[in-house]
Amino acid sequence: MPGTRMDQSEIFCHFFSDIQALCRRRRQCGKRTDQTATPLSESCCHSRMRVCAVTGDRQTCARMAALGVLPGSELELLCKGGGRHCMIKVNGGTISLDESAAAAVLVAPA
Amino acid sequence: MEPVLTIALAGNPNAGKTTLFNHLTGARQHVGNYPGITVEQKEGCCLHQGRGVRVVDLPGTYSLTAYSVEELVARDFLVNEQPDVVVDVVDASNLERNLYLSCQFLELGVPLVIALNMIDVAEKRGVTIDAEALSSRLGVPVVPIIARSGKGVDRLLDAVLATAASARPHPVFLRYGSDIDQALTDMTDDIAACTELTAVYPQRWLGVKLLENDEQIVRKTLEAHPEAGKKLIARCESVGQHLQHTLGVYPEAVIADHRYGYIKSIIHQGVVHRKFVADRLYASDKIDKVVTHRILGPLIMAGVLYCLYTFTFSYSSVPVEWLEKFFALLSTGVDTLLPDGPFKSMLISGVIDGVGGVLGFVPIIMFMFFGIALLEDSGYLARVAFMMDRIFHFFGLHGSSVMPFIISGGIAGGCAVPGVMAARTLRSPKERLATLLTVPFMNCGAKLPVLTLLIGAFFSAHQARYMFLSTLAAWLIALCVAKLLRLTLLKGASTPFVMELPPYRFPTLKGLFIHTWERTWQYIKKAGTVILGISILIWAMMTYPELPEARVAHYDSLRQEARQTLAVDTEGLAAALAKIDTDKAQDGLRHSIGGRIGLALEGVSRYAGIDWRTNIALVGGFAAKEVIVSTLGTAYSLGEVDPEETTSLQERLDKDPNWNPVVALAVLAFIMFYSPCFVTVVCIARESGSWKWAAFSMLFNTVFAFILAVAIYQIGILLYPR
Repeated sequence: MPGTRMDQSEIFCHFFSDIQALCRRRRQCGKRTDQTATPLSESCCHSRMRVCAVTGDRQTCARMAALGVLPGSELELLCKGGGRHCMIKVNGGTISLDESAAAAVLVAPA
Repeated sequence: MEPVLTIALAGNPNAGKTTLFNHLTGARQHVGNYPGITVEQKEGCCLHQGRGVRVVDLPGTYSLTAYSVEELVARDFLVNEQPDVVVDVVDASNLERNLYLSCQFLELGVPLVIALNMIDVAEKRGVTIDAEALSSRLGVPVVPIIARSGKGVDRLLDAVLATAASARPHPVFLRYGSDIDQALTDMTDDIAACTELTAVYPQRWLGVKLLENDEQIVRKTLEAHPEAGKKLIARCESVGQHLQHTLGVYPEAVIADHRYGYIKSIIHQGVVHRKFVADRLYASDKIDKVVTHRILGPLIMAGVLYCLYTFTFSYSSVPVEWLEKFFALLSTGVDTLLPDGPFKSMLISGVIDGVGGVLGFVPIIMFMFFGIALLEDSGYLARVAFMMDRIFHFFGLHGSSVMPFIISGGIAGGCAVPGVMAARTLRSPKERLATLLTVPFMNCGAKLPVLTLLIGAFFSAHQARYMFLSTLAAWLIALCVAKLLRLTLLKGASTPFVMELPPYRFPTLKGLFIHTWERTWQYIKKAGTVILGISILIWAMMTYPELPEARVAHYDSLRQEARQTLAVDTEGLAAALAKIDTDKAQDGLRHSIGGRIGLALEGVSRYAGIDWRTNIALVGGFAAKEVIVSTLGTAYSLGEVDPEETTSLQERLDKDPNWNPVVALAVLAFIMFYSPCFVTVVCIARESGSWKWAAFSMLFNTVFAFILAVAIYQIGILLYPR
């Protein structure tokens, strides 16, 4: 099943991660499995997700849709930046979203 | 003779349009491995099978809906200019995303040829694409190419000629689900009534754009046909509300979903074959996990920038010394060969010291540009934007502001003019204004020689460190000013930031050398033309009007007196004559127009420790920042009397009693932050649509820079009294 086994790069990335933050996120992830949708900005790193909804102003939703971030599409959260802005992989392309854009994308585990 | 064919190169950002454009036309347009480099369309020509072809490079877009300025530029060109053929440059390694735009070209009904670029990269990723199958599914020619090497480009042009010769295709009819399709059917009559628009756009396409709430199309419809327009908008709103209630989405999401569905259906019909599993992470993603890591990322970024400065200043010092020696030798040669007079003075003080002072920095510029080209071509700069985004938000700027900052000299060596123009990509007017008013604070390529000169003269032991600190200071000040503007004059909410990151690519040596040489050549060309002209003009301002006859006679009488009183003491005589000549040159400079301006400003500038000669250079810097070095060269060479002791400007400043590290720091701060150069000011006026903002930029920056310089100088002399 995709996303359950870590490849070498993920192990490397995790090795350098802030252990405390990682543990906290893992705990949160465990809680979220039974929830329907969470904002992308609060999701765990390195996992595959399905987009449940895209909220926010109409133009941003339309731009996200053009980039393939629309309800029903699958994405992979690659990395999270310093805050809650993140980098996702969708339709073969890598997209960076700032905190407000990431918060507007509601996702659930794929 | 057959008429010239017009082809438009369109496609997603970073798909390789400009690379193909450069290959076709032999141009050297700037190509970068991050989105948004091409904001305006560019034109060139080429010849194929004896047929003249006009090639237009359009900005990269993800869709044909007017969400951004690039999309508007591209769409307006396709609709208004109606090129004979549109070449859709598609990144083969990211086919699904790129075909989304192709889909919209098909709906618009333009004559289309798909250039399947970077097939080599796709193959390396284990993806093979059956171009013929894709061509038959889409109904347009698909030609695999590698724009970097030019492989397949001839076949592409053959396909372009064949498409141009065939009839214009009909728009492709895509289904968008029952709700949207029903609405489009209902809207048919009202759309048909909008004759002004249907003469330009296909009917169904118009309906789709109205449903997508495309601002330009909505406005045009309401302006040209108010009655039918209102009915159409009402129908679109009712569909929108229905979809919001039932699915929780806007119509554009449903439309995008169906387009992606159409693309997926094509791709899964034997067009794409993958050797690896679909969710495999590519090298780029693996690198990103480390390079953009929240702890490691900023550390790596700081390390990379510090290495860039160390590389630049360590390896360029030897050629810089050679050039300094060369210009000193040239100056001595001219002084020996030519008789005294205004022409000799102009050649030495105006041309050699002026232009030579700027050209002497060519090796530093070249090394810096090489480093920047390496970061840019590899795709790392886009990651820098990703990491800086959060900081920018804190200071009230947008994530898209990062690129204008970097282009303007975020890594010392850019130019504020393209930086100001790159701010066009920002949608929010307030964020755009805040960006274009603060990008001139960056250390552009023209400021670099001044910084290098002063840092080299007074802080030579830690040159790279000080350059690095000056870059950090530029960022800090620019961001703080942006925050101030956003809290006062430009109050408003931030808009979300979404950007596609290009994959990492190995820069080619050829590409790196082209980028380095092009930028260096621009610098050399400017030194040989604009800077030369301004240097001569400033030399004239610093030479004329000449001293009145009475003053000249006074110095002559002093010389004669010295000769009579010190006839026996030859050493004493030489020293006395040298002092008289120096006094005369200084007196002459004070009497000149430039000198008078400098002296008039000294009343204020002395609070920042800036003397009248430096004032002349700073006034010249309004024309172009490079002129500061050349004017300082001219101002400080006029007092020089012994050609045997020709010294570099750096040494002259170091020895000058008016200069010390505190003054140097104050002057550095003033130069870094005072008014942008004239061209940038014009550009700010054009981009902001008002001279008011251009004047604000000049006044605000100069006052701010002066306060900063005064603070540095006054605190400096308190801590380190002379």
